[in-house]
Amino acid sequence: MSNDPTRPRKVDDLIDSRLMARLDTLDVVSRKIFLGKIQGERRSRRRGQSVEFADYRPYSHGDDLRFVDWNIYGRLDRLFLKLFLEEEDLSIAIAIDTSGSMDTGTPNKLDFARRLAMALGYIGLVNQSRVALFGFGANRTERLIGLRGRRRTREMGEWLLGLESGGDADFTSSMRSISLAGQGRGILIVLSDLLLAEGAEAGLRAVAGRGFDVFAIQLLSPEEVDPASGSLSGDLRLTDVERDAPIEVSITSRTLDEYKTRLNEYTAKLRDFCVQRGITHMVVRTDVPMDELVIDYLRRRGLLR
Amino acid sequence: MTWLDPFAGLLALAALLPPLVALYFLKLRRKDRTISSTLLWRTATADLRANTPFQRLRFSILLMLQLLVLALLAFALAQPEVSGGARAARHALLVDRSLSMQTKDAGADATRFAEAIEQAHERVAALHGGGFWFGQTPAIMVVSFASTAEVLTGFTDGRAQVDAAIGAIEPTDASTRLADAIALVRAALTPVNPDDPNAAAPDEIVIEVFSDGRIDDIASIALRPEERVLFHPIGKAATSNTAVAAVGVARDPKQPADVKTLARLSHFDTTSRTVDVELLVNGRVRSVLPEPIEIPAQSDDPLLGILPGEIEIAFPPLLLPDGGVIEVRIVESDALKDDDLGAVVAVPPQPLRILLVGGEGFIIRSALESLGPRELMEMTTEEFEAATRADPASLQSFDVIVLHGALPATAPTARYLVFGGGEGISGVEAYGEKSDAFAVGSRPDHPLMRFVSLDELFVHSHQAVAATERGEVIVDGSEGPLVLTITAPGTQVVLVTFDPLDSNWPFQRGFLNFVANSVQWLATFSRPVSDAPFKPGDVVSVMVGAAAIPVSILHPSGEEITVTSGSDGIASVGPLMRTGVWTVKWSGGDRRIAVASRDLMESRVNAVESLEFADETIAGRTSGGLSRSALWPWVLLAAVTLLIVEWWWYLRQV
Repeated sequence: MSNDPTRPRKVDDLIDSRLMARLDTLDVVSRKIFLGKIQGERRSRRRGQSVEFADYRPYSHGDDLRFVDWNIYGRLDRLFLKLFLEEEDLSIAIAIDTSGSMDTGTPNKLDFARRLAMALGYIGLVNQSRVALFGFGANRTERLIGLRGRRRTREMGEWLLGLESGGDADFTSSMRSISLAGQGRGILIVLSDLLLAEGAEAGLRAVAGRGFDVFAIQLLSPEEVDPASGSLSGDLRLTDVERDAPIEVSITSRTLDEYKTRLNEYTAKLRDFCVQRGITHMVVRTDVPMDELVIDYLRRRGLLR
Repeated sequence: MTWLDPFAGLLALAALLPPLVALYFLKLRRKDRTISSTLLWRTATADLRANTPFQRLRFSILLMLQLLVLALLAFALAQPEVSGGARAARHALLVDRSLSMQTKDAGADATRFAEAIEQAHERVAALHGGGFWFGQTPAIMVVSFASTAEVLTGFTDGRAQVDAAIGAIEPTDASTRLADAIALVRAALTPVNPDDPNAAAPDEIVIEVFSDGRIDDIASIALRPEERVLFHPIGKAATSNTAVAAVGVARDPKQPADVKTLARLSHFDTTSRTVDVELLVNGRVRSVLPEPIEIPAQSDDPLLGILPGEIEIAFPPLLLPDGGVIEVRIVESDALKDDDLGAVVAVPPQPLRILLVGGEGFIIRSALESLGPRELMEMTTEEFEAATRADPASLQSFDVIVLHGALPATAPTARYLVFGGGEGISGVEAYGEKSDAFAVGSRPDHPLMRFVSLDELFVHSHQAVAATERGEVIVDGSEGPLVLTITAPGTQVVLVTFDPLDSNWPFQRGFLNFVANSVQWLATFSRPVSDAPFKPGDVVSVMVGAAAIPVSILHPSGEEITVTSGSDGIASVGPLMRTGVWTVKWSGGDRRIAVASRDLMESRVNAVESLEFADETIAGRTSGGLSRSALWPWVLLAAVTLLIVEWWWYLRQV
């Protein structure tokens, strides 16, 4: 991590107490009902001891008599057992792209991803969800799994601060690796710029096929959205931070218009792909205030409630 | 617009334009930037041919600005000027300094002459506005012209010398003749040996005429192939003018002290004009006509062209026993002031002293007696010849010597009226006798012929003579000259080649008038002050009576110069180029000389727009003007400014 004073160096830099207080009231929402490992605060497909009625079944030997519906028995003279949706815990996996391209931009995209992951992870911990963090970069996938409960917040923050950036991310392999991690089905939040030469479709397809409720949050810096605002002008030789082959570009209004068109096409194509596979795709600029993003935007997009 | 160095501009364009455009074909020197991903840029730009040495030339504001800067630099190097014609190797500047050039047109701040001088200076500046690399300064000759032409400087490339020559041109009130000026220019161009067939053909010469176009002899001048005329018209065509065309005085023989003044006023305009006229004697107003004089408008004669509206006026007789300077002046000023005043010097009445030699008949004596001379002395031919040897000075005291017979070879310098004898007179060649002659032509405008009719003249016999360069035929007869004037230093002769008694002339009224005219005309040469006005350009010989004495000449404007009389006791004054009264003073006396313009062409001051030579019409330069300002410094400034803008734009992009 560089010596830039604006970059986070401690957990408090990732999330402050004021934001934490506001996040305490939020919870992560899944559009799917997953089978949790332990009883949590989620409804499950498995009917069991829960407050929410699901169905009836005939009483069989050995059943808990506490769940017999005596009213039915009074009318039908037969024993039926009430079935309830069992509330189980939710698995929240947050995958952070730590490739070289993420360590660019003003504000820095990786730092933004750290803060966002910290906020989302904190919400999951507060709500007794199982939180897992993945950092995927060049030829490696770091992970921190099995977090549950508010007291794991600092541990999560320190792990996020320790993420190293660099290299060319193999997005598809990383997503397969995460999907096979066996952390149980749940919500997968992918934080990446998703500007991949091979495309993000294969990777997202891999996690979506495993039953994850996937949220692909595409982080773009302001200069990536509008290069003219980032003093990108004149005749330039542009070098990709993850590639060696530079390209030569003369920045003109026409070139800028063409770039924006290509960006819109790229994100639109990605969004269409995500919609077809039940993936929520969001484009987030890194200059958006974190509280505004979490409390307002992500609630509107259905990730939080 | 004129390009002083067009080749410099073209050379700069040819040398710099291809490299500049080639630089834009070549790959740009780009600034390295690292970004998160080039994924979108790769598809967004067409500028991806990283391995090709040249790129497609694209629209670039920088390229446009640099091309514009280059074009401006090339433009500046070509050294444009506004405006003027192409330069030749030699230019002759001919500046009109005649009377009409003293006109001050309506709305003008200066006279036409001053404007001509200014334009000539500007023209020199334009011709000398040479370029740094390819400029050629032409050789310039300066000639002023009026009734005569004068070379101010020969062909030279020295600008200071040319400017000094132009500045030395003095205005005159003379008439305008261009032929002499053209001849001087041609003389300056003539090879050393004009008969040399191998001599190089004369270079092209540009003759630049600065004039209002009122040139008397323009139609008689034919241009040569190598001569190109640029006419710089000066003045306005709508300018009108009124002039005192002539002033004359007459004395009543019965009241010699009374002087009657006559004047003729001319007016050039399409409408009539009313003026007040006053009479001045020795600078003081002595008489004013009681009523304004209305001068009619000019007329357009189908044969003679434009004729001025004219009117003759007469002032009441003035008592002027001692003579004086009589001036007639138009009170209201107009465009040309110099011809608003006419002057004449009236001499004191002096009875004539006449010597009649060999006058056997009474006819000539009676004619002379009718003039009322103070003295009419008679001598025989022998007595006269003896007197010429013994005391020639006593003979010179006579105003006129009338001879009836041949003029002796020993005759002193004097004024002679000779009847019937041409032999021995320097200026004519006698070769026999002719008979039965009559007049076939005469000079009616000559003073001798005033009120003289020769229609019924018959001469039985007369001496056959031929005039030389000193003689001028006044009356030409069917068999040869009948009346001549001969001019020699100190001597003026009126020669009648026949004896009046051998003709029917004595029986005609014209004979008496002729004798009177002759005596009066000859007497004017003997008097210290002539009452006949001179015209501008004349040279006046004043008899001061002593050799090598200082003679002071007072200009009408007040300027005074001093000359020295010659060994013959004569001081030459002039040429008198301005109208007005000149005063000549010497230790023994003084003489006032009136100079007046007699050229009505000069009073017609409406400027013309073209010069109509004998074989070519040259239109005046009306477009672009004479003044040519150098544009290239301004273009260079614009280029530098544009370069700053281009640099700013470049910094803004990078």
